[in-house]
Amino acid sequence: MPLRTSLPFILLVFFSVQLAGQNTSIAQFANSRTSGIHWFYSNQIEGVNVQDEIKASADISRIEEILNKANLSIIRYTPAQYIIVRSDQMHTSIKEWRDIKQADRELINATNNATAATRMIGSKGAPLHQGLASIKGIVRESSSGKPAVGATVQVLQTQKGAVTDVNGAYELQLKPGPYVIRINSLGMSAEEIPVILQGDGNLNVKLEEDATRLGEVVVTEKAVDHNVTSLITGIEQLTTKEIKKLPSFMGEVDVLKSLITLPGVSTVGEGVGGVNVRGSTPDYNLIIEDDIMFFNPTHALGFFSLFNPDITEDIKLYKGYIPAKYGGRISSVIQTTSRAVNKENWNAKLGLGLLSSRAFVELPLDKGKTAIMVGGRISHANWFLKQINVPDVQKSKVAFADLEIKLDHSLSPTSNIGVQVYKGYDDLTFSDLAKFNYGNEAYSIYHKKVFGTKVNLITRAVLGGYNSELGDLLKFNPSLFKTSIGYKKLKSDLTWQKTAGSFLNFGVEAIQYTVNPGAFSPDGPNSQAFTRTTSKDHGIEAGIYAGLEQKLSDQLSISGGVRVSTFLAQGPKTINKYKDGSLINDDIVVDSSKYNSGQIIKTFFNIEPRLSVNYRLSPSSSIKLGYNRTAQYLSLISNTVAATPVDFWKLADYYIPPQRANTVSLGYYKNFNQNIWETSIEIYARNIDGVFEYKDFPNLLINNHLETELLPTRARAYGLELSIEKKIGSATGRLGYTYSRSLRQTFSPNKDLNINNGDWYAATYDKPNDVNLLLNFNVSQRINFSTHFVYNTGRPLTAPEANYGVWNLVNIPQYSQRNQYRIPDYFRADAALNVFPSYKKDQKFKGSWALSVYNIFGIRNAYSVYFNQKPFQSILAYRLAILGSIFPSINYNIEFK
Amino acid sequence: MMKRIFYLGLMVGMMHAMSCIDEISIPVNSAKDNVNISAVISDTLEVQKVSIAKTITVGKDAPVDGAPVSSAKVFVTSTQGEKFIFLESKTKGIYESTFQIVPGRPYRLEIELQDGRKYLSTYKSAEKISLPFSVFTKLNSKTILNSNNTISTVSQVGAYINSNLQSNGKPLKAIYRVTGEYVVTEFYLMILNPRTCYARENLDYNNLAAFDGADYPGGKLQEVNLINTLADFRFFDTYCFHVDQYIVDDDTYTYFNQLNKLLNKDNSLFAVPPGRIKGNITNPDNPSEDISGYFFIGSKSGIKHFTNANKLGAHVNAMCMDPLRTIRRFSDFPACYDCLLLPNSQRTKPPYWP
Repeated sequence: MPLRTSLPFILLVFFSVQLAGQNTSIAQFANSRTSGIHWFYSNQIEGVNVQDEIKASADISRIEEILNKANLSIIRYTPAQYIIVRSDQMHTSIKEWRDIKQADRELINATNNATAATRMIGSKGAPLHQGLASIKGIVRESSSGKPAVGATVQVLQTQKGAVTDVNGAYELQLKPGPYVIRINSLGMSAEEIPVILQGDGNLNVKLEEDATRLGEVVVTEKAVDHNVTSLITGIEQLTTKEIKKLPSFMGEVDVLKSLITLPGVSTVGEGVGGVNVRGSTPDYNLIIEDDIMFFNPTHALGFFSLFNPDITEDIKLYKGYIPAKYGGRISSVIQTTSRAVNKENWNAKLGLGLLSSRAFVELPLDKGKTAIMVGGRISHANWFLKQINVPDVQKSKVAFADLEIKLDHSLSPTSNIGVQVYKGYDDLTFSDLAKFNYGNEAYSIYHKKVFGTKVNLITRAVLGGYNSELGDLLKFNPSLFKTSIGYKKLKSDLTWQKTAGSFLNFGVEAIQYTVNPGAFSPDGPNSQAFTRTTSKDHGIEAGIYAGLEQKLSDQLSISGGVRVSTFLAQGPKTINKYKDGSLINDDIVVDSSKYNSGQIIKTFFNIEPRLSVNYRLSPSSSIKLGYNRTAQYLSLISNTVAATPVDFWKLADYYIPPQRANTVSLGYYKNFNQNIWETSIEIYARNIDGVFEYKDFPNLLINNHLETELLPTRARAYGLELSIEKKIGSATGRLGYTYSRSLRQTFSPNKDLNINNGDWYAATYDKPNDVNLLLNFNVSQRINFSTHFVYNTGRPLTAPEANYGVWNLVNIPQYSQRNQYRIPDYFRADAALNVFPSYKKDQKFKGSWALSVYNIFGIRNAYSVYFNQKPFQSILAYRLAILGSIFPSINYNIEFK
Repeated sequence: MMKRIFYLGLMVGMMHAMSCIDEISIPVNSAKDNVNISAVISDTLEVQKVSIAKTITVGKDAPVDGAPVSSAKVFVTSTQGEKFIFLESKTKGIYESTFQIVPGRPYRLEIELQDGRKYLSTYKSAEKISLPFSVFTKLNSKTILNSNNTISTVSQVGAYINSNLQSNGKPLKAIYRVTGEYVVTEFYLMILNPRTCYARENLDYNNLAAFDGADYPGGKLQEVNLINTLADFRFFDTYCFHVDQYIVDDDTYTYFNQLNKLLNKDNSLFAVPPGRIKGNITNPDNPSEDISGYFFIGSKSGIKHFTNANKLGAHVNAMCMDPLRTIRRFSDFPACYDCLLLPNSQRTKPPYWP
């Protein structure tokens, strides 16, 4: 075994001796002695060859004899420890040996006293850097094999330590010697490992789940004072464990809807797909799971989200500052992360709910190296519909299912490759009148490589898309209306973690889109319905970015970056030219240009700087300032309050420019009572150009000149968000208040077409006041009770102010200015009781219950308000409440392992 | 089993309760007093009508009909110098004139109110198009949710059309109007000389049927349901569906199609935002004046379709017989004692009545 710089006198003893016919090196000899006497030598003589016989010899005299032949001698340090030195340097060596440092003696003693638990780290050979050896490793959870993020790695004899990063990796620089390394991670049992550090080496650790952990312990990469110390504004994170405690509709744990409990996030109504973040439309949110994009993140028209809680690890929302690595949307990034596949142990889960059930299995295929994870959900609402003695209901269908597969293979301890597949499907049929089928699918391959412990390279290729099909089930000539968006994406992202909290990030991304804005076709061979198509949109979006996080001083830190994006609108396509450049209608087309496949119709280019500054006012308070410029090259064409089956995506083209937003946010964050209480106040302002509104009664479907139906528009949003959160203790909770406005203004040159005469008006999703109160009580380690109260201002409404008769046939409402009124305010309270599984480690079967009551007070909140006039009566307003009753539910979950 | 029953009960309860609609009050600025002009001129020789009224405020206690505008001067003029004068009828605000337009010739509406305000429409014309269509009726059923949250199925009579909205290979646009007419006979105890009445009703009130032949293969409308009405005593003897087809120009179709969108009667969750519909009548002295209504000319053809419960296979009772075959009381059904109490009824048998 080598004694390296810690034994400097040996460094003086080096000669390289080659003896013919002797082919066992000192190093091979020393390392072959796995028990009994420990042999030490300097690296200068490690290559000296001696007779083979030495390896088999147990006799010290014989060994010494063999060594002497190679001009080497032995110094007996202890009965179990011998040092090999050059004979001609014996004198010097002995002299130096007497001067050996205490620390080195301890090392030898420790080696002598090493137990089975002691880990020997490092091997001789490689020179040390500045006399320090490096310990690198990855800390994982034993049960799941996933990285333990934010675990502390502490060297007990020193003040040194490290915190694991998002990969569970850490690195320490220490002088060689014996140490005890203590590893702590929330929710896991602490581990103390005696080590003898002799050189650069690895120490990977697996932590066991803490059998006595409290129910509220949540392992995240967030520090306890994250809200104060994190560099960026407007970031929110919820783990699946937190989400599972929230009261839910029909017991379905909803990853996406959980965001609505956060300040600045709202929705236009219950059971609506998509969320509005800081006064933006749902299509302004980039929704991704591990960089896989989704274009309709819901099942059952919005009642449930497509993210499977068994697969999802957590969900992050960037609503203020958006890191440069994300692009393509102007308002926010909703990023879910799938859990790491457990390569150590198998486990399975079953969840039985009223409307759907779930199954999940995780299986190591090659223990420690390859594992697969499969999760799926299927609804069984149809069974219930069949029991209702109403023919229309019996003939109706509400079915959805999804399947997600993730296969991960470790090529080496620092490199892995994997495949992810998502397939979702919805089949909704209303009696024999209409059907609506839609689904997302994505296929992805990724490769992750960690260089050292500081450089991460993730490369991912995705083939994905969204298809929808609306069927008209008429007896004669049934027809289908189909839309789709497909994409191929390649992204490579490199992060260099310079120090804790300081990193550089670079990457490139390219996405090729193909969009079918709509096509009518006959449904069945006997249908003579028209086939009508619109030309597909083609385009390539590419981006290159660089970002950094840097601590400039104890008070000042910055996070920033820039993204340079471009979009190429491509053919084949025919572009109309209008008289005088006007887009009033297609009657004034004066010419058209045809573009062939792949031919570039128009190129857009945007530079998107991002910056966030954190200034620490004190250890428990900070202010943060953020600025974003973002660009978006595709839009959802939707002229309704809620997403509908006939909505479709549209790429930027000759007439439809990209949408660009400038967002500024400023926040003050203050924690109290040792971070038990977190408070914050954030204000933001955003303006967007390139927005469009629809003319009154637009013709959006199967329209090859959609630009004639749009009005150029500006949009702006601003608001204030207050949050008070108690994070630790048996009672936790969060109170959030949001004041936000979202306004629009059309500026068509044809003033008659402008909405509200070209004045600013409230956007459809403008809801100024929003209050959310979330309370969580841990009754015991296994029982949790939570409640959620929500209040918000009703969304805008255009109401009839008068009516008039036409032809003794109809009574026509004469409507107010757009969005001049509001529907009634919204209030709802929910509660949930969760009984979590036992924490017994050796239990093979664990069950848990989730009881939830949605809308405890049965309030008939208005989903929408509409106006109707019964024969010979005046126009009256009606409130449609789609979840206007109490909805109790119960879910049972089983976990096997 | 108990668990299934529990789940079932829960789900059924939820399905019933899931969607609820109730009337609410939305305070709006409803002080509107605009002029509303509605004029439909057909290409047949008949009484043409123009209606002038004020727009109506909305709300629970608001009036149903707009205040009529009387004593207006109303004309239809053509580019060839023709001028048809309309006179106010017995019903205030309704102006009538009997004439027939010349196919293809442009006409417009000219109005002068008593206070001096003048209104002009755009020019409209209609080609004479003879476009045959057919009407048939059949019984269908509908599930309804009653006010007490119970579900029941009712029988109704549907009127359907077959038509070919195409002329010389060019798709046409059409608006259909459906009115109904039925016959009843008085019946009460000791009746000696029962009378028979013929009552007319607006079946398509707020139920606008406008079609574009371009939306149908070959312009063929097949078994398109225009209207449904409850199968009741009106079908005991004879019921007549009057179906009128108006072939209209593109602008008129667009106008009525927009009206259709605005009515939004399906209570859809996905309703499009309401817009403001502009008609084709303006005040030349004050172009910004907001005027509701429309003037158009349509090429008209009509069908009278007779049916009754026997033909339809429906079981209905006569007006004056309840399901238990007992005679209704006057307080319950006064028309059994005086059939002229039925709205729009008359004792004269129409000449077309079988």
